[in-house]
Amino acid sequence: MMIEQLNRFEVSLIEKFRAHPLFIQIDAIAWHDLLEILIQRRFLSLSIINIYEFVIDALAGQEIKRTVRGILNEEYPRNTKGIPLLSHRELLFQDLLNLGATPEMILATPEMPATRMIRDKSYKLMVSCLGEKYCQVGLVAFLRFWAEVLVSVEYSCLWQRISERLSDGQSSHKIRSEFYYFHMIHDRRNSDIGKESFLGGLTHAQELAIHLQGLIVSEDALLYCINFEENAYQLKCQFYDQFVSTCSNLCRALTQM
Amino acid sequence: MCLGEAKCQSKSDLLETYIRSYSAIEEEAFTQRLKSIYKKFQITGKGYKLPQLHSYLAKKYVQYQNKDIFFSEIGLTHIYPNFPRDTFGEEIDRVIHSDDQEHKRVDILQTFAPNLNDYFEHLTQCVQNDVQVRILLAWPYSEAAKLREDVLRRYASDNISPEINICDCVIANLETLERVIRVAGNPKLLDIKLYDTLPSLAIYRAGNYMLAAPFLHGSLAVNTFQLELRLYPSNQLIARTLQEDFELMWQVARRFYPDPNRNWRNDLKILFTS
Repeated sequence: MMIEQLNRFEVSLIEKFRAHPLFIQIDAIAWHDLLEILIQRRFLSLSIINIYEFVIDALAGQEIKRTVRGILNEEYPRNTKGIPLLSHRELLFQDLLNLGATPEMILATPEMPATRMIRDKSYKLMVSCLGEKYCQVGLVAFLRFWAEVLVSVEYSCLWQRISERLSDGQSSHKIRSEFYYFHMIHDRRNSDIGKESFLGGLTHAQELAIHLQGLIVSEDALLYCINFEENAYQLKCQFYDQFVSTCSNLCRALTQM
Repeated sequence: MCLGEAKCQSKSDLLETYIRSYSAIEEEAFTQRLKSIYKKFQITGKGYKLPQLHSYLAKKYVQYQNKDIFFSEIGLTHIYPNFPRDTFGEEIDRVIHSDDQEHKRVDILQTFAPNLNDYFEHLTQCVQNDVQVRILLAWPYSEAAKLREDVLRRYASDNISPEINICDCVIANLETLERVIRVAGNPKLLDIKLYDTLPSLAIYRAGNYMLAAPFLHGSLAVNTFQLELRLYPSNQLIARTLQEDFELMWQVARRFYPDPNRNWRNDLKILFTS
């Protein structure tokens, strides 16, 4: 029953997130503004490593640590001879270049105060659960929702525009997206918690969901989890809120609604 | 040795045959010898013992004969204690040089093939010489692959590292196949598929030659006994069943191509989640 309640909550939260004004009017955004959004969004991507490292150190269980470590290590792939391959950070940079950003734009655009504030708040939120009774629930719930489930929702909404210039690999005349497309797929929620299939493999969100389910042992734990997911959602909304007033086309489109 | 197969002789007929074939013997001494034979084969039923001995030996003989025929009928030609590396290499060579298009196929079904590198040259030559190669491996991110990894880590005894990582092992196989693709120049005849289920046998096939070995808890399939089979025997019980199961797995598995010019690790990760 508790997990069903959580599943219903997550589905409604994702619906709400998809209905963010920026995503609703994604087609109205000028290309240059879209690149600005993606370049700011990159600061959150870069901070994911710190979030992951923090959670690994703060987690108590060895099994869950192993899962989180495994996901983190995927960000820095190697071949089986041990030679490092392009990191996911480099693939993000590559996708941005292929979308038309210049290296200078990506590297020299300063982080906006709102983006920085969201990073700080996110970190503080994780710190806030230390010492709490359901600390482990908070850590996994936040990590799963902030760094996987909502990331996939963001990229699937942004994909409507990204796919104008990058492909999912099926198109021969467009360059393939190596970062956004693959994260959209392997981070996503994919199934209700508790309904992960043995066949077909698990996304990152599902790998974490299996641990989360085991940690939600009481109504209080459930409420703690819901609270963390709500906070993660609020932070992500605030990130996109900052562009609603700055993107001129978007403003015009929204006032005409 | 004197007992006829078709019908049971009387004791005096048997004695006569004995004297004719071997040497003279007193009837009493012959009876004693028969008694010790009855004892040896535990012929203890009531009534005449000689017909009982005859029917017992005749039954055993038929069993022995049938079994012998049975093995060749089902195509079983040999059983190796572990994977016969050179023999399989020779069979691939035979397929490469064969003129019979029917025989020009090599199939491998494994979780991961620890010996795939041994056949790098062979596989490259295959795809350059009209041989259709099909490789069927575990999708490295599947729960099934993790389960096999857990089983081997926990129970395997044969020199397997407790840190064996099936994901890396399959990816190492894909890197070998990537090299085949690079060297052979994008061959059309190399087909690779990955599955997310659990097969129970490893299969290596070259033409009508096949090696099949079970996935045991205690060891890798290549370190387990190998059934050597010839395909298309008169009794299709094993050969056809194995071939059909390979085809079924081939159907449900998903195609994967480790293209040297592509970041294929990205595609690999989402093969079954998209």
